[in-house]
Amino acid sequence: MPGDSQSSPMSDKTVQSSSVVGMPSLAANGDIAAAAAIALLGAVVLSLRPGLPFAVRAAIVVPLVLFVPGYVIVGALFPAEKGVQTARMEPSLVERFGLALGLSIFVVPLIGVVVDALLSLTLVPVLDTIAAVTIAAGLIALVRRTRLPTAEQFHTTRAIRSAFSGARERPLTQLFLIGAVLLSVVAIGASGVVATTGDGDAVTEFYLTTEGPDGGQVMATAETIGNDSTQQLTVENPADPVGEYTIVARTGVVADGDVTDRRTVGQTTVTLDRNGTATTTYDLELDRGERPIVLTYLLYEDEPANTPTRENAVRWLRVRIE
Amino acid sequence: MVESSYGRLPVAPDLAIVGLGLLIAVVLFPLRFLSGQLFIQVLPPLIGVACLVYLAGRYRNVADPIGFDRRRLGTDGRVAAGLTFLGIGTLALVGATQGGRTLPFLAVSGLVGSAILAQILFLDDEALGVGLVLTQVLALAIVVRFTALLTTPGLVGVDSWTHLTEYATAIRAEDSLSAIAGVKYRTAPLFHVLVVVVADALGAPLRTATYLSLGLALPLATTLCYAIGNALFEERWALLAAAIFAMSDHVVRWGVHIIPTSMGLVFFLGTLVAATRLVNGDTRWSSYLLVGAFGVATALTHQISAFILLVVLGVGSAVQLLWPLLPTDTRRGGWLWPVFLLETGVVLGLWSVTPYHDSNFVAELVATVERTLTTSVGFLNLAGPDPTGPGGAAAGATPIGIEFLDALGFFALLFVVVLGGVAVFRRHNASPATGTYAVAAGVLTVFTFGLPLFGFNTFLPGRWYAFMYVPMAIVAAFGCRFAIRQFSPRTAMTGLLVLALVLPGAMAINHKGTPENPVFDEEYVTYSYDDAELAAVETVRETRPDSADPIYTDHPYRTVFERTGATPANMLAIEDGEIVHDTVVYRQYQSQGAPVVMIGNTSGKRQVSMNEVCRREMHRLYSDGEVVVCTGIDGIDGA
Repeated sequence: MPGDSQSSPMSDKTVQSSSVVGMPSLAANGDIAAAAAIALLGAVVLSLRPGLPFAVRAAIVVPLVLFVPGYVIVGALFPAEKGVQTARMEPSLVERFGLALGLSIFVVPLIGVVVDALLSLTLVPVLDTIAAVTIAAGLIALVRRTRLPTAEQFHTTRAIRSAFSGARERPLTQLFLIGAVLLSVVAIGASGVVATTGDGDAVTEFYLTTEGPDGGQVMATAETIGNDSTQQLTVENPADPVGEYTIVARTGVVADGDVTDRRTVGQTTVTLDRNGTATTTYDLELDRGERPIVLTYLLYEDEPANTPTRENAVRWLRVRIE
Repeated sequence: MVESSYGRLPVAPDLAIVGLGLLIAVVLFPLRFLSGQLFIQVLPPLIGVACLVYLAGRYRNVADPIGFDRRRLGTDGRVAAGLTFLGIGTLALVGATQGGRTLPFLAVSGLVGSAILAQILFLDDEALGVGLVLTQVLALAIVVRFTALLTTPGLVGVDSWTHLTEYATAIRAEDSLSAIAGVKYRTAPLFHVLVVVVADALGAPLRTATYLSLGLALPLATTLCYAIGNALFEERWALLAAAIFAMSDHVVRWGVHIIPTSMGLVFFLGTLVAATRLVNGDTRWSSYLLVGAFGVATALTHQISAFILLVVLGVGSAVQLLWPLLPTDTRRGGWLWPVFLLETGVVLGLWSVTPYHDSNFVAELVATVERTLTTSVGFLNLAGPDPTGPGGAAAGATPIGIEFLDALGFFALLFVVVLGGVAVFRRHNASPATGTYAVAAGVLTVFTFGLPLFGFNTFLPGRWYAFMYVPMAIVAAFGCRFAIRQFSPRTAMTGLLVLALVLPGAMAINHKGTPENPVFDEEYVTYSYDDAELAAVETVRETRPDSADPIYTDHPYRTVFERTGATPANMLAIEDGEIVHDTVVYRQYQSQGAPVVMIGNTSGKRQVSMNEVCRREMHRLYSDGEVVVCTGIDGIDGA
């Protein structure tokens, strides 16, 4: 028969008390109380936005969105414990977890859709409604649980205790397991921190814009690049604020598919601002009459090379002038 | 074992199924001479051999049917679990230090997966702790997915850019769903609403919100697969089904490329849990409510997911109605057909008011099906989109050896699925619920492989895999159970050991499960971008005039330009051996990876050099060391 590890036989003592139906106790229904508390906490704290650190907000939001509403709804739908003879079709602890997850990510956005239809999709009414739904489902779960004999009522603590039964056997292996799990958690956490705290690869962007039809700087297109001879050069590297770069402008004559007679026609040094951006303009006033020529902008970190070439520049751009 | 009665069938049901399997194998076998497609080459012999293995097991004289169960390894489950947890921790460190899911990471993940499967398959009953093993499965699933998510700048995949940077961003900006009133997700907004609500609650970007909500929900939903298995057979096999599901390539895919399909998969699992309860006899209103709720949730999330769910519920209803024909378990559970009709009504109702291509979704779907039937369909008409999607097996001239390695996990899974699919119909195994999963696995396979064989790709078969893996994982567990019971312990253990060693590693390297960093990165498209590539998109967005003509770059890079609203973008086209466009965006990937470009009238993967794309006579206006933007010379006057 399919089953779950929680399905342990009931003791005689439990059976004797199974017919007792009374008021809900906090100890037996702590799961519902905790769920309601998280929902209320979420509604209040997240609505007030008291500038909580991200980790704290995440610690509230993740269970609130992924687990809490669904858990109490499952509790309301299935108030009995799995494994008790009269309620063998009740979901196991694992099944409750999975269903809680699925129902939560259904209920939360559904509430959002309803709130959007009535008001607008803003956070406060959504959180308030999630709390209201959670508490209402929790009350239904409490009522349905208390209508069952005590031994048949679902108890999270009992289910968890059952899942960990036998944990005290062989203390050495148990100790090894706990140590391994802790090490694993630390490794995963450290890996997460490493993966999320990096600024990513430093990217140095170097690009040329001209004044577009609307007056703004645009990356030149076939239509815009010929309309103005003033070219704006931008260097961006957010990872390197106040970094210094040198731009060297060189020309060369295109002849027989090759570029000859290369000359340096200008050089300027730029310093990135705090956002890691620097711009400079270059007025295209070429005194050489050969055509077509190639105008090349070479970007260097700090000082340029003695003989500037594309190969020793960190970035380079090119404009062909017919 | 000789059946004394076959009900209304002339032979035992499992023999009828195995006969059908052998017939399919024999009929499809000659296709290998007409098409070189890998699946056509491999599937017929694989199905045939699996059927023969089933027959060998069925007619084997089993002296000790529970011999395997009675063997004792004596291994402490907690020691095995502890070692595996250490492996999972190591895996996370490898991912962080390598900066992503590199080959060493995938190798370690395969080893850890094998360790988990070995525990499930070989530990003694007393040593097998459900909670411990399930925790390992979930931990591995989370580490695998989050290594991909956290080490990849931006988003993974293509559609994720649309759903987050377009739809969810618009909803968040307007505080209203009216922001997506004109798109088909107007009637399926749950994904976008969830992401927006979480982002607002966290005060975080949509990407972070997506990862902390659905990014976690996807691996944790493996518990639902366990729940299905637990309703059908013993814990060991439920764990095996859950582990196979969590490690499967396409399931991992939707855990890193998080879009409504991903969320639909969770609801699909939830519906199947509830439906299984129903069919197994829990006919209380709460079970009906549960299956109805998850069904509606699926319909409100994703159209294809809802369609797949309808197919499975339809299969379940048909199996239930036809089940009395079989000489098997005739226990009455709750009927699925009312649920199927309800879900059909909900889906059709929603689709009829869903805007799609200047019409509604139902009308457009019918028109598309008609169009496909009249224009594209034909036997072995594989010219349409490859069933495995863009960049898939048929996208270019991928060596068949690499294709085989890439699909090895699926083939290993399919082998045990065939075994289990037949074993389900043995009289003492059969129930409407198990029968439903076996038939559903077969029907979904037909939708995924059969229809594309005829050029019918309207139902986007690439999206069906992950859903198909649910019944496949269940039935595969059944296949392993059959092997253990029908073969000698030595034979069974050898076979299962091979499965445990091959499946996790082979699934891990499949390109669909590694969209952000495929192992064979010159054969399969990489659907992620580094910081330089994303910086270029952002700068182009800021500096490109609204009136500018489209830029040209490779697929999938062009999709990021389009879907982030940076600028219109088309695929690079090679015509007469040349690439001639006004404005092109070159990235190093075009020379080193598997970029897709237009070659004549069709798209295919082709590496191109920077000088081919950014020709010498063009202006070179942008460079960040990896990406270069070039434009034509027209308009320069040099004044």
